[in-house]
Amino acid sequence: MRWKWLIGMMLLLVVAGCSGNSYDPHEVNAETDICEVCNMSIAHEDYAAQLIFKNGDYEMFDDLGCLMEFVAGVDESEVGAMFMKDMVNNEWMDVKEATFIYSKDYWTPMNYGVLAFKTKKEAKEFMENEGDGEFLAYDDLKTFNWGIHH
Amino acid sequence: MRKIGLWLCMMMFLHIAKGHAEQLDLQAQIDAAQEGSVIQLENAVYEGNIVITKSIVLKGKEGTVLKANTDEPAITIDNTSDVAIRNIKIETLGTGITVRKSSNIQLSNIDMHNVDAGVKIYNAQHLLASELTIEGNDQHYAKKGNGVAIYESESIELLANDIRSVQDGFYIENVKDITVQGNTVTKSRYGTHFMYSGNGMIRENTYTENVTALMVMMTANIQVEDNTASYQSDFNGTGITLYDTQVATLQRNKIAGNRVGVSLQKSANIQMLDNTLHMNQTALESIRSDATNTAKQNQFIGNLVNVRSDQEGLTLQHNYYDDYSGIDLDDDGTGDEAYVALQSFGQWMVRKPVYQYFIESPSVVLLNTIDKQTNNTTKELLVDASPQTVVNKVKKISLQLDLPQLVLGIILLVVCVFIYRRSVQT
Repeated sequence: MRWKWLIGMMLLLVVAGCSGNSYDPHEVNAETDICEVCNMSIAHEDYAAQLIFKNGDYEMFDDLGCLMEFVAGVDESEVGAMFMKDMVNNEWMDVKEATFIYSKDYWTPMNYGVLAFKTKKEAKEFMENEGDGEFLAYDDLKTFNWGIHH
Repeated sequence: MRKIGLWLCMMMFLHIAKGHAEQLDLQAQIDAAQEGSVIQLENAVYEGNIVITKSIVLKGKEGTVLKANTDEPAITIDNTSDVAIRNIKIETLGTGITVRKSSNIQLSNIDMHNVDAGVKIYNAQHLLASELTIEGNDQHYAKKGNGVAIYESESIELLANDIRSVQDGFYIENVKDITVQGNTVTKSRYGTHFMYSGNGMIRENTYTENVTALMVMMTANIQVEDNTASYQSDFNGTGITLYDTQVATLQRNKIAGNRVGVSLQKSANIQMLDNTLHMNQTALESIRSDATNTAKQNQFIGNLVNVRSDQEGLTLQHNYYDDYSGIDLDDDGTGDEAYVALQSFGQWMVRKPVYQYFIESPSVVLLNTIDKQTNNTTKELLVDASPQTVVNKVKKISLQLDLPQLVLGIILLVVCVFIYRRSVQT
């Protein structure tokens, strides 16, 4: 009886180990990381984004717009996770759960003007201080006209 | 009587001290000056952050120093025209000069060291910045500002400036009609960084030890001539990168010792003419760019990989390749068979730059040898149908008459003839 219990526990652990699909964001290395799309060095880390494939490979981006351009060219079923730096706390967050705001007057490394926040409240507070913007959802980013709008 | 004399002396001293302090209050002098007047600065230290909102000329001497007291720019030129600042040294840990909404501005011979950022220019027209010496602080480039940053401006000239240890030597965003000439940028992220700009001339600049010498992004109509982009540093060291650039001419540039010499990405209507690319890991790469981009009469010497591209390719014409093994029977300077630049390994490196660490390994050398044999049948991608067999160099021979040397030569000749004749006679 004890052996059965032990084998059961081990199987449970193996299954738990296999089914885990967590992806941890990689820290930016300012010396070597460059944007996979535009080749710019990631000098403004607080705007950085990254995509992690299910096989563990990952790519860094200097701007959310570059990430979205890259996403448009890959099979999304191969994508494990996408992270973006939160404008307020400079911490990585899941791109699909972020709140985005856009204004042509917001500066980003590629000047696309789309910023990411962890919560809608933080985005609203930012707009009160830095000027009004337009709320965007993740799906809006797929059809957004990435480019300078001055 | 002695007391009165002492009192008079003290009053006189106080008056002189007060007068000197007033003279060194530069903001007060500027506020009091008439429009268009010239303020001659002394060989002294002026303290305070100054704001200029009128037409004025500030002329310093050797030893004129402006020392900022706050985090604000040492000098702010705001909403005015016809301002010139010459011959001063700025001491600040923040930004040296900020120009906003102004026209006809001249900044020349200004030194600033250990600054976070040198000059910031917003909405300016007809601005000349020349002979500025800007040296950034010791922070990593990601944590400091640019040498000269220009936004939303027109008719800008940046001439003979010396910039070191900043983020980007020149950051140029949304600027039309700009000339960047005769500058030196070292130990920074990008030497010159164009974004969303048009009508640019970049010539005779020297870029060394930056991550990328010249980064041009989303820009149209630029000419890049006679620049030296050599030995950019580190893993990503690149000479010239054109990203999403339309209509550009790269001519007579010297691009040496970089990981990638010239990188064309998402770009179209690019003409590369008579450039020298030597000792780069990859001399020229083309990614997602128009196949009609042309590299003509360039010299590829001592590079590990001369040209690589994705499937779009690149047009190659009349270039010199030092690894060309064809023959030239009629000795007209053009090889009788085509040069095929395609290398399997080079193509792989486009997709995975990390493969660069395997370059020149035995397996890669073997692969390249096999490529050379099989490429003889390749007729499409990265083929130069008329490779040059001699380096295209125009040697300028200048004949200059040095009069003293000529006279000395004639005298020596006469002396020699005289000695010879004497010796023959005896």
